[in-house]
Amino acid sequence: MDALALSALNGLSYSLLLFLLASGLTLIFSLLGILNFAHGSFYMLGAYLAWQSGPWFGFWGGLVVAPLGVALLATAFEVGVLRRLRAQGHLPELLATFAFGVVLVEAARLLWGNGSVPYAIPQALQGSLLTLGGVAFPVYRGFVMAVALTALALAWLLLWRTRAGLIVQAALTHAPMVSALGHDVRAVQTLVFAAGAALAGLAGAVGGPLLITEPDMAAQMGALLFAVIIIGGLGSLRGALLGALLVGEAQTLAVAVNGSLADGFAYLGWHAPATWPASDGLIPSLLHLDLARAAPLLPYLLLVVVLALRPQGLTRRFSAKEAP
Amino acid sequence: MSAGRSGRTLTSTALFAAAVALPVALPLSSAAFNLLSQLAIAWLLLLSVGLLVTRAGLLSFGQALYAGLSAYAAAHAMNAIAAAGWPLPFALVPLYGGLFAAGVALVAGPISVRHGGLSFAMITLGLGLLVAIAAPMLQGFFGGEGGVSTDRTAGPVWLGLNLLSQRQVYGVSAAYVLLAAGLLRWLDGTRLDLLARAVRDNPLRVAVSGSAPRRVRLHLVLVSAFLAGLAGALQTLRVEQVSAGALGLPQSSMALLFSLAAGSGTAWGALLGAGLMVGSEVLLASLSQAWMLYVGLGFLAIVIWAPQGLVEVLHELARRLRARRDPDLLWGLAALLVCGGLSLIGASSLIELLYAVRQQLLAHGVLRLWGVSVRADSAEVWAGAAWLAVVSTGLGVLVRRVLAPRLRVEGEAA
Repeated sequence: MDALALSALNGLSYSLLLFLLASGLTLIFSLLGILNFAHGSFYMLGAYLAWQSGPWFGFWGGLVVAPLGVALLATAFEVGVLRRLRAQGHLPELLATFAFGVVLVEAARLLWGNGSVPYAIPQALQGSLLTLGGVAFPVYRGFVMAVALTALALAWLLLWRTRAGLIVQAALTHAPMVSALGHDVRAVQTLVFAAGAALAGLAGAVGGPLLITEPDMAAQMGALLFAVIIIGGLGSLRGALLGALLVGEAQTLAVAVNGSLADGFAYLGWHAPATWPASDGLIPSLLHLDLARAAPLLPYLLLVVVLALRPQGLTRRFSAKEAP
Repeated sequence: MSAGRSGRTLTSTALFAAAVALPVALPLSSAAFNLLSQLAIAWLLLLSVGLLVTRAGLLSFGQALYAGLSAYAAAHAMNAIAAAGWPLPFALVPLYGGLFAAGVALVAGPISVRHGGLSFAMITLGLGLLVAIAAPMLQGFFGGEGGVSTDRTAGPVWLGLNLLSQRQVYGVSAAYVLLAAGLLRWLDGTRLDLLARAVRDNPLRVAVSGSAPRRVRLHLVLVSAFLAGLAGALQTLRVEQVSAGALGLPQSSMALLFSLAAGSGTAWGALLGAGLMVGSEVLLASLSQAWMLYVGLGFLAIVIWAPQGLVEVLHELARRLRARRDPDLLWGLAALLVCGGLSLIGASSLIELLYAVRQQLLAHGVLRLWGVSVRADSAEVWAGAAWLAVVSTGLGVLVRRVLAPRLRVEGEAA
């Protein structure tokens, strides 16, 4: 039981990291209408920047440098590319972010190589926070949770409890009106894109030592992120949280479980024929697939199941207006 | 449709058919036929993606689902035919692959077509990822990491078609390209085509006028999956092996990117896109390790400067040049081309230098760039490349600025 609770706690810290990323993506999507395919690359870049700046600013400095660096790059991209595509609808914007994501990953390969870099957990954050049933919960995972919660609380306060936040929200729903009142709507859009990217950069800086810092992390996290936000419902922050929790916990808990579909059926009293070894064909190999091994699959399975039942995701209704 | 227009389409069709069929009769090397087969396969894949985008406004990020599954199905079918000794020629296997993919679309499609736009893109992405990640885990069907291998010459020989030579493989690919082109011609102006375009522009109006948009989308997805299935099975026929990489997201996204970069779901547009795709995946990849970087940058440039696609840009340019015989415009374009070429040489030299230094690929610090041997550790080489890139880009921007009014005025007049 303790082991399960610990798994759930691990899953929670992973979920919060996912949510930190998904919230940036959701912010950009719901306020600008751009589905940012470069988000995974921003995350990867955050990890690399934090690691690269380590010798100068230390781990803590990296937590500041990474979001700032990524935000700066995102600003340049928004002003240089996205802004001039805005008049042509959302499709060119989406493709531009996709291509930019590819360029970033390849640039990282160019600069830092194909393999992983030794971005490690700092000395001060090593050790265990608490022990459940003889298994330790690392301090660093607790730290990730704290960083994610702090960043999200700050973002929430900024967006919903300040004057500037109100202007941002208004600028994105009633642009002409806000513009007429003397605010620079284009600057607001750039700011939102940069802020979303900064959240991704921060997630990379704290996630890098926890997972592995390598070019492939962009594609892996990017794909997972889309599963998270689609499961929750595009553009909804509540949905992103729900999706992140479901995906994070499902992946983490599944690793802790031993068993396959065949075991499940056996428990219910139906035994797979002995003439069905795992290597025999599609259905037997599906039956004998260990849940622990299938963990990376669960987010996408969840995605398809949710979409088959509720095409708009768990929390949100699609409106015709959103189709690009 | 006027007589002249239909005459031109007919000429175009005949020209296309000749271009596809002609190489079979030419005395080309085995490697050349291999490349041509790759081109044919890429053409089918790009057409299947482009069809969805241009006709129905559907962005599929999961086309490798159909192509990849069909490639596996083809491999299993070939092995089964060979084992059982059935009198079925392997040249028919791609047709089976296409139908198999359409069958997959019959299952996967209904989930994805309920909404168009972003929803479709996301769901196809999700379905594609699901299968791509599941495949290596399900050893039974997908053969694990090693994939499934087969032998294309194990089938019965009909009409001398033993598939031993690359020429014969290209011949089979060309036949399916012509089949697909015929399908495309037949689709033009049919009720499905018109409905799909209407759904793309205004789904609500179509729904109100009595046709369910989701059914229209599903029908188009079926056609598109059939084409992707042909491509997948032909790929199996060509390389006699299929592994989980065939299902991956890169496959889908590259097809989509190149289809959009070249532009449109027309036969010629897909041909340009296929040329670009095979060119970069085969030729560029053999030249440089940084080829994906070039592809990404090139695509970014196209999205920024030619969002409607290259075919459209070329078409428009040709029309303008024809409409007004303007030597200045021609010279301006030539200057732009030269500047672009020079800045390409400069920028790519910088990238290659950086790559060589970072990856420590060099034995003695000497690198061959554009046919010239240079020392990667000399500052002059770096400065020269940077100078070339910056100056020629600057010149290019200036020329473009001078040229812009001419292009714009003509564009508005049209």
